Parts: sequence; C-alpha cells; structure tokens
Amino acid sequence: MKKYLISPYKKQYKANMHSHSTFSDGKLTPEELKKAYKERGYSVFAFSDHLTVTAHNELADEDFLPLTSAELDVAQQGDECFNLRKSFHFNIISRDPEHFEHVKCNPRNYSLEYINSLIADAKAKNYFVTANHPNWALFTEDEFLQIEGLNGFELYNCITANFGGALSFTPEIYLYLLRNGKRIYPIGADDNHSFCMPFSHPQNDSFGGFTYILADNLDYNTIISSLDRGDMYCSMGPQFLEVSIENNKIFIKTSDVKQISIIGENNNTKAKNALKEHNVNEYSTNLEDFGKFFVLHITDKNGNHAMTRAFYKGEDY
Amino acid sequence: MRKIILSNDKKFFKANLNCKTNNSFGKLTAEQLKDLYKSKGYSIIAFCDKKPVSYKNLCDDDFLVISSYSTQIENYSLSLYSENSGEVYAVENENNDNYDIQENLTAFISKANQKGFLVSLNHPCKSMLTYHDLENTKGLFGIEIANFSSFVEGNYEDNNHIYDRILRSHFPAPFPIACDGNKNLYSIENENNDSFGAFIYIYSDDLSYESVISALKKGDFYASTGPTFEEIYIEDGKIHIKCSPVRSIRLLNEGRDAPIAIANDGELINEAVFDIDPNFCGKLIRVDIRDDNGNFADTVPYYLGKL
Repeated sequence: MKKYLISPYKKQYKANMHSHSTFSDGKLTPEELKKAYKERGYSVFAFSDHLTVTAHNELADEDFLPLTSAELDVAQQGDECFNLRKSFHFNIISRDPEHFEHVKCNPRNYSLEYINSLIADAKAKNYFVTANHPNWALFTEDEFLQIEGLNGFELYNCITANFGGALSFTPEIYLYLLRNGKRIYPIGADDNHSFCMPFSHPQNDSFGGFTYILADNLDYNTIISSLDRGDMYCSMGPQFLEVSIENNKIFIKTSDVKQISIIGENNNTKAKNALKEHNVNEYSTNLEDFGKFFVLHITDKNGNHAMTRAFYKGEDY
Repeated sequence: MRKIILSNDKKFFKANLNCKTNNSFGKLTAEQLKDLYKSKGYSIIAFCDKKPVSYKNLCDDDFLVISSYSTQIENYSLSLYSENSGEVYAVENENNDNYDIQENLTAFISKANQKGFLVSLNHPCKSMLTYHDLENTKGLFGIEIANFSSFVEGNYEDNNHIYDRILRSHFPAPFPIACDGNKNLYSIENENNDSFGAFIYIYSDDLSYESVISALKKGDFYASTGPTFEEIYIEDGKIHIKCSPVRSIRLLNEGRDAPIAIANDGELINEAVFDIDPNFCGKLIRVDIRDDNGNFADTVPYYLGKL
C-alpha cells in the first residue's frame, strides 16, 4: 500500500517563519509585510518581533494567516566586538493566536542553562520553539546538542546570508542533532528586517528562505498541528511535490533540480543527478539500509536547497 | 603600500589532490587518469590509493604526480602527500588500545610529518565528523572543504562551516582544499561522473616537485569547485578582490558576519573592496566567492597579525 510522506493531495502553504516589523527593528509595518508577502504567494507569516510576543490577528484573511510569535535572544557579554561573541536566538510561536503568556527573557543573561530554562518556560506556556540562524550563533554542534526542547531548526536564514554575509545553509548541525536523537523539524525563513530596500536590492532579506507547510486548510489550529507533526520542509527555492513509499520503493517528485538525494542516519546516501545543462524532477529507487531515518535533500541549478524532516523507520515507513 | 596576496602574474597550476586509481577503489589506471586530467587542463595530481606508489615515470614538463596515498583511522579518512618525489613507504599506525582517538590521530600525523608527509583530512561530511571530532587534532596540513565525488553521492560536502569552527580554535589551522576523490566508475559524460568538480589552484614558480610542495606548505593555493580568483591585494587597510564573474564575494572572518558584495538579479560581479577591521574580523580573514550555479572558491586564511 502506498504511503505518502509528502502528499500531493495536501496543500503546500508557503510560510515565512521569522520576520521583523516596525514593532521592533524592522523597517516595514505589519500591513506592508502582509501585502508584500501575500503578493508573492505566501500564506503563513510569523510576526516574530524581538522579545515581546505580539498578535496580528487583524491581518488574517482566508488566504493569509499571521502566526503569533516573538524572537528571544541571549548573548555572551564582554569587551570583544559582538561579531565575535556567541549569541543564541530562538522563535516562540504560540499555539493559540489570541491567548498567550509572555516569556520573560534577559538577553544579557547568557548560559546554556538559562537558554534551556527559557525554552522550558516557553514550552510550558504552549509555544512551538525554533532555533534561529544556527551558524550565526557561533555555537558548535555539541553546544546545540545541549539545548533541550527545540521543535524547529532554521536550516536557512535569508538576512544572515544576504545582509550579514554569512554562509547560511546549515544542514550539518541539523543532521548531527537528528543523529543524536533530537526530534526537530527544518525551517527556512527570511528573518527580514528590510534594511536594504527596495525588494530588488541585492542585499534585501525577503523571499529568500521559506517553509512549506503541508495542510488541508489555512486555519491556525490546522497549521500548528502540521508544525507539530513536522508536515513541512524548508526551502530556498526548489519544491518537493510528492514523496511516497510502496513495496520498499521510494518515489520522489520535485520541481526541476540538479540533484535529488536521500541521506541516511548512517550516512548511506543515494542520489539522482542531472546531466549537465539538464534537470531531474523524479527519482524512484529501492529503500536501502539508511539506519533509523533518512532525510531528503534537493539542490537546483542555482545552488538553492530544500530539505525535509527525518522520516523514521518503523514510524513513517 | 600594496601587499599582493594573489596575482595573475604567478603561474597557476590546477590540481586534484585526491584521486583513486584501479589500485584501490577507482576504475582507471594512473596512466589513463593522467591523460584524462591533463586533457582537462590539470597539471598536478595525487593518487591517493591504499598503498603509496611513486609515479615518477608519469611526470613530464607539463604534468606532476605527487607521491601520496590514503589511509583510514576509525572515521578519519586521510590523504598523505610526500614532500619527497622518490620512493615512499606507508606510515605505520600504532594501535593503542587505551587511547583518545584524537590523541592517536595527532600522534599519527606527527609521525607522518616526521617521515616527510603532509596529511590532509578527506570529506568530513561523508565521514560524519563534527568540530568536536577535530578540536584536539593537531598537525593537519589540509581539510577538504569540498569533495566532488561525495557531492555526487548525495552528501552536502561543503564543509566551510566546520572549517570556520576549526579556524576559530586552531592556530595555525589546516588549509582548505578541494578535491575530486574520484573513482570514475562512470564515464565522464555520465551524470554520475565524479571528476573535474573540485580542485585547487597552486601558484608556484614552476612545476618542479620541490616548488609545488613548497607552495602547498606555504598555502600558496586556493580551493574551488568552479570560480577562480585573479587578484587579491591589501592596501591602506582594505582588501581588493578580483575574480571570475560570481554572484557573491564574502570576506569571511573569525566572527559570524562577513562583509559581502552581491550582484543585482540577472547580473554578476567580478570585484569587491572591503575594509579590514581587526576588531570586527578577529584574528583572520578569508575570501569566499559563489557563482550562479552554487559553485564556490575559498582562499586560505590570512592572519591579520601577519599581513
């Protein structure tokens, strides 16, 4: 019997899971952001201004869902330039759009213990928690491993790439955490502040990283349920259109890409590559021993990536 | 005063420092590989099979074979490059039952260094190595920040992040290298061809063994999966970079953010100038360029105290 891991019958709602408006240090108002993102096909938008959870439910309509959220942060203190100091940022997304408690955060109180206490507080208050721009944090893989309670993990963050200049796509930490038992889901996001405008400015930080959330409809509870189940994948461009398993064979359908790869927990990999100047958009192959799980990864001809959550043997297939 | 770091005035020799022949996992003979790589503009190759073999007979005025071999210590796949062009012999790895793996690895590297080998770490992503698997390892000459055959197999073998973590804690740090790791199980027209995708450009006065090894030891090279550098110099506290047409030019450093130049949509850039601020950059800078196909090139680190 065919089992869908990414069903072509579910809608894929394009989401920006990390943003800043004039409610903190962004340059555009929430209304301006809604207009700009909706025009470009986004349906879900987390208004995650700094430190204070803010709801923008008045912006919701049948095609646009704002998520009530905030970004919290803590940073190493010291005399060194901030560029050289560790700083951990994370988003908290309320599972209830209207009724939420704040999570008090002192950004100067830096320690892994404090970070874990903040996340525990957020989870107790019914938030979905995601780690932001991991490479930007200057944490090592093992420091991330010590963080408890994360639901999501930003694999790509547009502002750190376009404005901050960092190499933003960070699958190696994500895979390391998965291999060490963390159940986390991949997020792509802009973290837009709109410092460089117009949108066509090469260092503009909008529309570069997104999360496709698979759901039947666009109401708050349904989207949160999808996030909780990991019915999502992160992308900088390419799309997964269908992933199914039948008779121990996996079938993957994508937008045009140059590589479709299956990456196992044990690092067994299988890939379909395109001939030069060509694309591939389908890959069907026998499932081999990939260990406890596998992750799917696609890369298009421009070097843009998309990556799924881990699909677990015995649970997902 | 202008300090030139990299210039087209020097000769650049294209090199694949990790190549498998039919003496190990590869399909082609060393002779066939020489012809193949030479036809594609390469001047230097290192055959990293399981046993060291000297291929002096394959060297000519336009092509140099570096005596080398590959070995595995637990998860660490290593390439060893001999500083001497003559006969080479494998370095014994003393099996110590009570050991810290990185202590053992460092001891092996030290022994290899004493026997005249430069030691490089292959495909850390494919080997599932993290920063912590390397933080106490000393003496490496290089780390593959790109391995083309690993990309073809489906790994995200762009190891710039783990390399940056090592740069923050190691001084001197290994150099970033890019290699094919090719086995040539498929023809070069096949979509699974694993040749010609990652290489280093060594700038050396000539193609003699001594000059090339000297250049490697000094870090007179850069790693690439496509784009090329043409000129890098420092003048009046600014770094000037000229390269092949790319989408972005970044001044990576010890910190999180990097001064960046990005092309407008539909366009490419081939130069950038950045201020060098030691307070911002920390102890080092290096340049990363990325083209429209996701290919990248990276310089070795330049330590601000030495510039």
